[in-house]
Parts: sequence; structure tokens; C-alpha cells
Amino acid sequence: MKFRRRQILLAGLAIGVAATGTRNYQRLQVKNKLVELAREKSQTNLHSVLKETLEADVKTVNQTLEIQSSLKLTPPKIPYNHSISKRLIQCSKLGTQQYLSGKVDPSFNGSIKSLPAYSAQLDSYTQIVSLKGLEDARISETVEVEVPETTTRRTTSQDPVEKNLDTAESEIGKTVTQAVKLKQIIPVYFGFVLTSKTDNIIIFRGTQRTTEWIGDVFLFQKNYEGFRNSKIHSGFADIYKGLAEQTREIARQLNPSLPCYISGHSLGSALATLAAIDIAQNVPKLKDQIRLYTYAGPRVGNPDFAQMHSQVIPNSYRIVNLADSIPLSPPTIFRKDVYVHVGQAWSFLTQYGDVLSNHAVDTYRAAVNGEVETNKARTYPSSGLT
Amino acid sequence: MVNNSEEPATEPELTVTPPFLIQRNQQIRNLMLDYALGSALIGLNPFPGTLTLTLLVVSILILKMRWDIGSKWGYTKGQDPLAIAGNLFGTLGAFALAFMAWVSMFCFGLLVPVFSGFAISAALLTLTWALGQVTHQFYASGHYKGGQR
Repeated sequence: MKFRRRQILLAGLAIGVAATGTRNYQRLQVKNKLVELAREKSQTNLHSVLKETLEADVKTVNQTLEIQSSLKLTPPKIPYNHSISKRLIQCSKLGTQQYLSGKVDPSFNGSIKSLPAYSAQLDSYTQIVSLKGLEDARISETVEVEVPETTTRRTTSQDPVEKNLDTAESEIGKTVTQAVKLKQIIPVYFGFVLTSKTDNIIIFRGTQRTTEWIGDVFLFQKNYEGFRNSKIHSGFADIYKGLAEQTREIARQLNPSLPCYISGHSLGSALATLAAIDIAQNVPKLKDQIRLYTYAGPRVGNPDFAQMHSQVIPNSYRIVNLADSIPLSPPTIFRKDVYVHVGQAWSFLTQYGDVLSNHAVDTYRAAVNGEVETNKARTYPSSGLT
Repeated sequence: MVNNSEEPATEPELTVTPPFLIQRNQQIRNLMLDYALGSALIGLNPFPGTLTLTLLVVSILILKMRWDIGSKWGYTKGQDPLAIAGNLFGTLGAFALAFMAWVSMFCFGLLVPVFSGFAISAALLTLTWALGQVTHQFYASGHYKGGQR
């Protein structure tokens, strides 16, 4: 009886295997036929396929131009101010130095007065706060600390086995020492807020930390809450999310009768763009006083976001080095997402032949101090470092 | 419960496996093989969109197999902690083995497309067989309800 059951099972399994194998084989044959047909078709349509492939780039360029030309941003009501721009790019430099000082010196309190880029032209300002991460007002970041070698080496053994063991121990010791390093918690500064009798300044620094580089390359868009069809870069949105609450809180404390300049370089530019619209929405009394100056900023959102942004914050200026590749990213068309810039473009040309040099805050500072940036079509002079 | 300290010192040492144990082992092994073949057969289900149903049926088969194995052993009780842990981790291991069988057959199917359709069947066969072994081992480590092994 049991043997009979086994026989039935084995027979069933054999039939099942045969059926499945036959079905798979048939599917494979159908697939091979389709591949063959597609290959034959592609041979006959080779000319059109080749033409389509060769024209793909031109098509993308035309699409990009179309998107850019169809964008109608509200022009600024207040003209671009060279003097303010010089101050703001200096503050962007200070933002970077503030972050680096905090990273190296644990006792650093975030005051920009002690930084090398600080100058007397900022003496009329009072630093009311330093922008930091959430969580106990700091985001932890690790710094490698050199550990001095204190162990004394043993005398070299003559025994060949012991010699090899010593070598192995030494190598393991070195590897473990490299892997296990002392860590210290440091504050992470994102920028600062200055106030004076004439105006207020909110500064966001550029990309410095590894997590921010990762955030920068998250090119996928997410919906911008509160505005229909508006989408923004998800990496920038996530970084700004950690700063949004304290930025709003500080903005509420600012004098609404004075201009409020919001600025930043690189990632700071993207954060400033998001902060400006966020403050305009959440602190309406400041809305008309917001002036946005961005340096070396990447694209932040889609055309709907840019148009809405320019309507709410018309006094927005985008300073860009034409040889800087960062403002050319993310691509205008990235998969199904579309990216465009916000703000009136003020450009200059400084070509050092390298991505980082062309993008550096010092390069922008030199150009702005030389007042070579323009919003007119012209040949761009190379400013060089001053 | 058997108390070793109370056993008479003259009792002969058991060195030969009793025939009934060998027979029981063979019966259980045949049982597991039949259930594993059954699971593999069900795993060859050709109808698309019925995988949940397939898995459900195999789950019932596995439960029935565990029940039958327990029945062969008389549902022995009083397993020691090692047997309980073995049952627990053995069950997890059975799923890991089944997963590996699926991955292996799937990858093999990428090289030889005809074999791709056997991945689920192979996984279910492995799972049933491995769970059967775990259950067999678990009941073999217990005691009869009457207190005698």
C-alpha cells in the first residue's frame, strides 16, 4: 500500500517535472523566436533606429531649452546690491570656517568673531544664534584621534616559527589599531544669524559632511507640502528638515521692518532657498523683507516650485560661476523629474580647470568683491583670486 | 522518569539498537519522503496567481506530517532544554535551507532556463524534509507519557 503511494507520488512528480520542463522549454522557444524577430526587425529598421539614437541627445537638449525658456519667473522688485552681496559671500566663507573650527576645536562656541575671514565690516552686526543640528543642539560626528604607540617591541627571535608569529601579531595589532580609534563628539554648525540696526542676515554653509554629500546625490524629488504640483530635491529637503524648526523660531525673533537677507554657498544655497520659502510661509510678517542671495547653488525644485517661489520671494538672486559644474546639477531632466533654478541669474566666469576650484567659496568671493558678476549678456572676464 | 542512580548495577549494557527502533526510523523516514515528494509536487503547480494557495496547502501538509511523526513516537513528552532548543533552531534552519534551495535553483535557472520553474518545488521539498527531520529528532528526545522511555 505504502509502496503504491510512493509510486503514485513519484509518478506525479515525474509528470509534474516533465510538464514544467516542457512548459519552460516552450516559453524559452517563444522567447528565442521573439528575440530573433526583434533582431530581424531591428536589422530592417536599422536606419530609423540609428537615426533615433543619434538624435536622442539633440532631442534632450531641445527639451531642456524648451523647459528653461517656458519658465516665467517673477523679476525682482529691488535691484541686485553689490555691497550686500560682498557681505553675504564673506558670511558664506565664515559659515564654512565656523563648521571647520567646531570640528577641530571642541571648545569653539560658534562665534564668528574669532574666525580668520571675519572683518570689521561686520562689526555693526550682532550674532544672535548659531544654527546647529537638532538632538541636544548638536549632531554627532566622529573625528579620528591619533593614538601614540606605547608598546615596546620585543627582541627579534631566531626561531623561524616564532618570527612568523611575531610578524602576524604585529600586522594584526596594526590593523586593529587602525580599526579601533578614539572618537569624540563635536558640534556641527550649519550657519548663523546676524542682526543689526539696518538688516538681518541668515547664513547656511555649504556641503562639508559625508552625510550631506549623500544627501546631495539623492536626486529624486518629493512633493513640497502646501503648494500644488511643487516638487523639490529629496536630499536637500531632508537636510533642511533638521533645521526648519529652529530657523522659523529665529525668524520670529527678527525685526520685521528690516530687510532679511538669506544666503548660502553650494548646499547652503539650496538650504537658503528652502528656508526663504519656509520663513515666508510660517512667518508672514517677514515675507516682504526677504532677499535671497544664493552662490553656486544647485537646482532645487521643479518648474511649479520655481514659479511659486518667485511669486512669494521675487527678490531672489542667483550668483553663479559659468565654469562651475555644481549649478548645472541636478540635470534639468532627470528620469521623469524636471529641475530648474530660482532667482535672477548673475554670472561671471572664472576658469581654473577643476571642479572644486571653480566651485570654491573663495572663487565666488573674489568675483563678487571684484563686482564682475552681471545679469547682462556679455563676455565674462576672469576675475582671479584677490 | 528514569533515575539512573536507582538502576541495578547488573543490568546489561544496551549496545544493539532494538529492531522496533530501526523499524520506526524507517517508517518515519518513508513518511517524510512521501510528504516531501507531495510538497514538491504541489510546488509544481502551474497556475499563475495561486502561490499563496500552494503555500497554504503545503503548510497544512507539513502540519499533518509533524502530527503523523508525533503519532509514530506516541507524542513523547518531557524533552530536555537541548531538544527544545534544537527544535526551535532546527525549524529556523529548515527555512534557511529551503531559502538556499530556492536561491540555488533560481540561479541555476538563470544559466539553464529550463530549470527556473523548479525553484519553488525544490524549496518546498527541502523545507518539508528538513522540518520532518527536526520533528523526528524532537520526539526521539522525549519520554512516553507513562514516564518510561
